[in-house]
Amino acid sequence: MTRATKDKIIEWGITLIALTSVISFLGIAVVLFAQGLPAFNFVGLWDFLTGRGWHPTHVYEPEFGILPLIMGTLWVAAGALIITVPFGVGAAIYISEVARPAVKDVIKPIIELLNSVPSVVMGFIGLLILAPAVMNLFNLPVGLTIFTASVMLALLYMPYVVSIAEDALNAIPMSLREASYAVGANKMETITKVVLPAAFPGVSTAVILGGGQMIGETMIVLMVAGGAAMVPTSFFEPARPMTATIAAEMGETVVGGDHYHALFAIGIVLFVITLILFILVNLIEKKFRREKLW
Amino acid sequence: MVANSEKLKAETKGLSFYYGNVQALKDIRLPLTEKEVTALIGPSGCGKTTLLRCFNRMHDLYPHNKYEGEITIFPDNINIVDRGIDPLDIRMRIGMVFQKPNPFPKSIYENIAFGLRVRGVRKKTILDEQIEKSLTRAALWEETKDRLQESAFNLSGGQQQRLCIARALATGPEMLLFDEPTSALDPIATSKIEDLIVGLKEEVTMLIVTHNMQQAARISDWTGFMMLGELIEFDKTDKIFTNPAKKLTESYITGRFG
Repeated sequence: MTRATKDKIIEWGITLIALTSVISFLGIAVVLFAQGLPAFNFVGLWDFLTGRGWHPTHVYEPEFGILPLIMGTLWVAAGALIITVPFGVGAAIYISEVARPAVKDVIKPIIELLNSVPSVVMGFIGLLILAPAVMNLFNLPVGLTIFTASVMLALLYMPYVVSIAEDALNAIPMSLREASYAVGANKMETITKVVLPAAFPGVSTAVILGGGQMIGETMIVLMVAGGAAMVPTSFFEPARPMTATIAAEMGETVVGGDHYHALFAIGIVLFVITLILFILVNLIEKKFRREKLW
Repeated sequence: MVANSEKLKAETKGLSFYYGNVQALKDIRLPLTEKEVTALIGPSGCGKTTLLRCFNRMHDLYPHNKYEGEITIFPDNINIVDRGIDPLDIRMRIGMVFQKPNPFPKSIYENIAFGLRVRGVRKKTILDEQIEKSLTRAALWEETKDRLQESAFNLSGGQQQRLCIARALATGPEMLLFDEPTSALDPIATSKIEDLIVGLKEEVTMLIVTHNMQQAARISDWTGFMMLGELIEFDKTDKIFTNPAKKLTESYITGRFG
């Protein structure tokens, strides 16, 4: 066999391996749409997205409005982000800019270790410890609320956001910090006015990706969000995010029935949201590249 | 070896510096004459950049660094490397230009405004005025006056370095440190920077580290030759390049090593 044929074979092999992920992605999309689109035969897209009633198993008048589920997802994710952004970015700044090397060597592995806690464990802790505390603290009828889910989600994805944000901060060259110190800036000014703005694309990517993970997370919201399919009006109400709905109901539905297709249609909505976030991350990256701001 | 009639801006005495346990500077005595250019030359790793970075306490940014001896700055007789002296106060008075242009990822305007804002300047009229002034002094105003809000990264390498000089000038430093400021630039950009440095002699004392001996000969009034952390010889630039006192200096400037 000549060297050129060997090269060709290797090239084809690698291409094939790379193609498997593309094929899996397309396969997932195809299945999702094939099973989800039939839902729009019995409920209009607009009614589906904006309907306030989710009663898919009602015998006489089933309703397939997922607004409560979308809002449940958004409230939970928003709550989690409100907690994660300041704490996560703050922790990343501490590790990257403030901590002494010895301290950093201890904290970083701990945060990464936290990353490996299974979400069901987090859900369990939320259920047994946080939920009763929330109930008593805020004098609520039940402790399973958006707030409870948000806190647990924030804990689960904090390490994820911290490590991506910290990578972004670490990628800022030391020469930039030196330039700042050399004109007389102190540490705080250097961090807030030079390092953070320079790392903005990376840090915002960390936050958006974290948000995407939160939207897709299932176990915690299933366990502690309360499960009520109502459009929330405050963080201290129960909610039923989209993922929890699919997980809770898929096992009890008839394959090929309306409910079944409606659950897949929810999957499409999740898929589209994730896709939008992914595109957003890429746009941010492109914008900053083009404007040569980093 | 030093003409005492000249006015000194700063002087190091018995200056030693350590990276952890490694001694990088040994008992340096270097006078800097006011409003003149002093060049440091020497082979790679001789400690010239280390010495330069003592003057604005850049080494304080990294752990396990230690200064010994003194760098006195005149007229107020302060020892720059004294532990009790806040490096921020020093950096407020001594500016620096780095080896590779390192503008902030901000607009041209904000790059220069940064140092002024850090010093509490808020008024836009003052900022505008200072920015025009320092860009003009750095021979960059004509090229940038219509694009002040553009990213500094849109400038060429040479322009970026002049922007960095403008940034250092904007805050009215008493002294400027240059760490091989032209090593990343082409010959034309290099000659612009050199002209600039010569022109700045009227107002500021400068210390420049350079790998390029011709550059030292062209722009400096005084030259120090360093090797292995020691200042081997220090004298008027003419003297160093025509009739050095030490054999080692002569070997280096005639290209026998380095």
